[in-house]
Amino acid sequence: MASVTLTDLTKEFPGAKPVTDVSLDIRDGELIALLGPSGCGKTTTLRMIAGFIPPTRGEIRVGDRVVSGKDGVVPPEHRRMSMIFQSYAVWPHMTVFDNVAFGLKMRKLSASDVKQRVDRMLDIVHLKTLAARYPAELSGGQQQRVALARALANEPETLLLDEPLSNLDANLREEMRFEIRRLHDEFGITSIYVTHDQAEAMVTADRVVVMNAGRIEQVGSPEDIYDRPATRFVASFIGMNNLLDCRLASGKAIIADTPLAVEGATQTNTNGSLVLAIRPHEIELYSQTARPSDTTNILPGTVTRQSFLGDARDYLVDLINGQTVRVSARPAMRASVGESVWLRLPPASCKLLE
Amino acid sequence: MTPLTGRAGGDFAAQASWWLAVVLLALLIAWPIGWLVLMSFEDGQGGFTLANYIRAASAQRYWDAAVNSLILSTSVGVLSVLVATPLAWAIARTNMPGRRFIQVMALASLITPGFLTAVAWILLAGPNAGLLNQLFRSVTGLEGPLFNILSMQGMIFVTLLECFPFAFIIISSALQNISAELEDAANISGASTARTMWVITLPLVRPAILAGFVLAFLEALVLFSSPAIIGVPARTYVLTTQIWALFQFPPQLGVASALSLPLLLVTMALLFVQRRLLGRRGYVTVTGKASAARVIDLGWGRWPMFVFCLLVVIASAGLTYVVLFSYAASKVWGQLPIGANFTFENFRLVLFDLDSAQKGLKNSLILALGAATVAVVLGGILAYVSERRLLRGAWAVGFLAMAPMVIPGIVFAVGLFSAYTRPPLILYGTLWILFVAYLTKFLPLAYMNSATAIKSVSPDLEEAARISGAGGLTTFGRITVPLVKQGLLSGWFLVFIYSLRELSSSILLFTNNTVVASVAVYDLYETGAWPQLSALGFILLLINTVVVAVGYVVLGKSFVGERP
Repeated sequence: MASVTLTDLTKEFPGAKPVTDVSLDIRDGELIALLGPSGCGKTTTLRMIAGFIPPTRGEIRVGDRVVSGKDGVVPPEHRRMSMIFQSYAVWPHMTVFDNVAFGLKMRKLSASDVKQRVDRMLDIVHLKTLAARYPAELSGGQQQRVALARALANEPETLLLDEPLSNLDANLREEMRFEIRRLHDEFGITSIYVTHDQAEAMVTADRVVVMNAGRIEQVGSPEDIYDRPATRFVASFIGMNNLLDCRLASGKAIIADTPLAVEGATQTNTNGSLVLAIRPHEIELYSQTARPSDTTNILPGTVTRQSFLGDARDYLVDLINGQTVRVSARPAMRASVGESVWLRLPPASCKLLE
Repeated sequence: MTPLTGRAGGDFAAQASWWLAVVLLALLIAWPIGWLVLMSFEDGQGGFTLANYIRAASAQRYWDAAVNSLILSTSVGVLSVLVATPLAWAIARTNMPGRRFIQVMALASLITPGFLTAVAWILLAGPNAGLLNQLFRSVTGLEGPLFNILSMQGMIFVTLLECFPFAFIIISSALQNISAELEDAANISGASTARTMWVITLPLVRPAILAGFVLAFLEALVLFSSPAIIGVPARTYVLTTQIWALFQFPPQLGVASALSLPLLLVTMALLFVQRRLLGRRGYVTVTGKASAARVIDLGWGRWPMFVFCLLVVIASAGLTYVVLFSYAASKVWGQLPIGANFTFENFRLVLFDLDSAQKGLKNSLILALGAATVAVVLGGILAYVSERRLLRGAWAVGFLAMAPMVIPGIVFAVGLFSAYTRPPLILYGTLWILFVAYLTKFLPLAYMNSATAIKSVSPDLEEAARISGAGGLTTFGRITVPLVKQGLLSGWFLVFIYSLRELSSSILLFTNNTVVASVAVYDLYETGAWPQLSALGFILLLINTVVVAVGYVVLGKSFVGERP
């Protein structure tokens, strides 16, 4: 087992800089998720950790070993890592058994040791009866399990997962999320999990690293990321779709000339532009005739669009200063386009961000 | 335990192997071509001179040869397209009967050695003894021949039979790749089927038709077989036969080199143009996939169309087999080889008594086996290096591996002759020089097939092996090679087939002990030993067919069509 430390990790191509100065401490036995939109640099970072891409600058340590740095780059086969690929990368010309046994044979284990370990791994991922099958005869979920067994059989110090679930259908994905977490808890291998799906990151990871444009935006527990986004990007990426321009006056955010109580208003910086971030489903919607009894943080507006989504109604509401707010309301809450409404933004849900 | 440092991308063994392959490739090409250039500027005593070029440019017969080459290539290019386009269209888009049969036969023409087709046509249409001319005289009582194949027209005709399949492959592939929706869209906009064909389909395949013209032109330009077998007796020399003539005693290496280089430059330019025309798809694959395009009903016209197609493929492939067998197996030419007229004597003679034929067949098989095997290993590694960008400047590897494609066989032979008749490597007089020639010349076939196959293998599969602890070479051997086996095998078969029939390089590089089958055929032709020639030719065709059949069985799909 080992910790993984990235220091100022940077990758440059002619005309592109997919990863810039990424520094990160991953604790021994931790499962960390690299979360971000496509092109944010998360996969490039992972591939540098694996040794498939040589970094332009920076250092990668595993425990106290430098695997990538000024003095050279250790090839992937000597990093004592395993990786799960988006495409599973299960070798089609080998049986399930041979796939799982490959790494062990590379390490020149005796045939009986190999057999014992492979059998145990296949047992753990519930594939024991399929050992003699070829991958083409397996379902996507089963292939994913083969990939898991193959990765774990090698007893790696570090497990890398590159969007491992994005090729699975929704039901299977949910099952496999927990499966990955279960196996992590069982083996306690330091794991780095790349995904663009925030729910996946939240469910599986101890800590989430949100990346954007080659840089780290925020590192924190799933709760931190969800409740206390550090930047506008993190806020919008994890579902705070409403970013309302505002200014700060005596501890309150001013939107459309209305002062609103917000979290984080004690922050002193009032010079830069500020936004108030809030999730659509945290906003309360009231018809004009039913003005809420609690009148703190209420704003008037006009409905410009509404759509029925089954478990919710989705509204776009224009404020009097022209800003548009997205609201997700209960299905029973009906308001037609053009109608004047009240919005209440509960202070605890309002985050002030630079 | 674990090394703290190492090179990215591979361990030392792997890096060394990749580099070795690349260096070998560079030497294979650069050494002979370098000598070719050098010799063209050499005065015979090691000094620099332009005299070779001046002599090449001042002699009328070289200009005549160039003009003849131009006439031949242009005629063959135009006629190839005129023959190949209706053929391809009829197969891809109409309800003509026997489409599958015609297609197989068209591909069979591609693998039928051209020098054998030329021989067959002399037996049929030679001015005096040609069967058709004899028939014509006996029926009409007239003196002169009906056709004289030993003429410029005859050479164009036979060369056409050898070259039109190249145009056919490109055009039919383009026709198959046109989405039927494009035609449906024209129909729904009010165009009739015929009009759609004219304003939509034909313009869409126009680049392919042009590319087909260029390729047929190019093949005719560098061809040695028909020009030697038909042109030389007709005293019509083209550039390739002229270069060959310069090697007759006393050899004039300097002038031959000075004639070769311009030819090389022309083929380079033409192949470049052809690539441009085909866009990024530099090569054409005939996949057996059923075309979803709809079929045009030709009505009664499908029968004349069928007759036309049938005549073309019979003339280019079927006849060669029938004529060579009949001639070799008959006591009297012109009667069916059955009953009292049948004889096995010529086959027996060729297989058991005729020294040059025996040696030729043996050497050809050894060379084909060796060249195919080494070409697949080298081509496979080079394709891997280039597709996976394993070395800096990997793009150049692909370019270099395909470069022999532009080098005419006879030109390359001139270079090989200069390079390997002197230290440090004296290969002339041994099979090695022929091996090097075949290996280099057909390396692109192996490279291309490997590269196509490797492209279809996800790099994830290899990376998964690396992170599981396998080094670069182990990954290549255990993961990549098994996954691209089909592509490697089809490359192997192609190199084998093309090596077996190679004439244009062999004719300059063979010696008495290293004679190959194609050269033995040519020698028999020069001495006028027609029965033995036919027998040997037929045996060659038979071997060829067996290899192709085995290839089909092993690979289960059409692989003969793959060639740029």
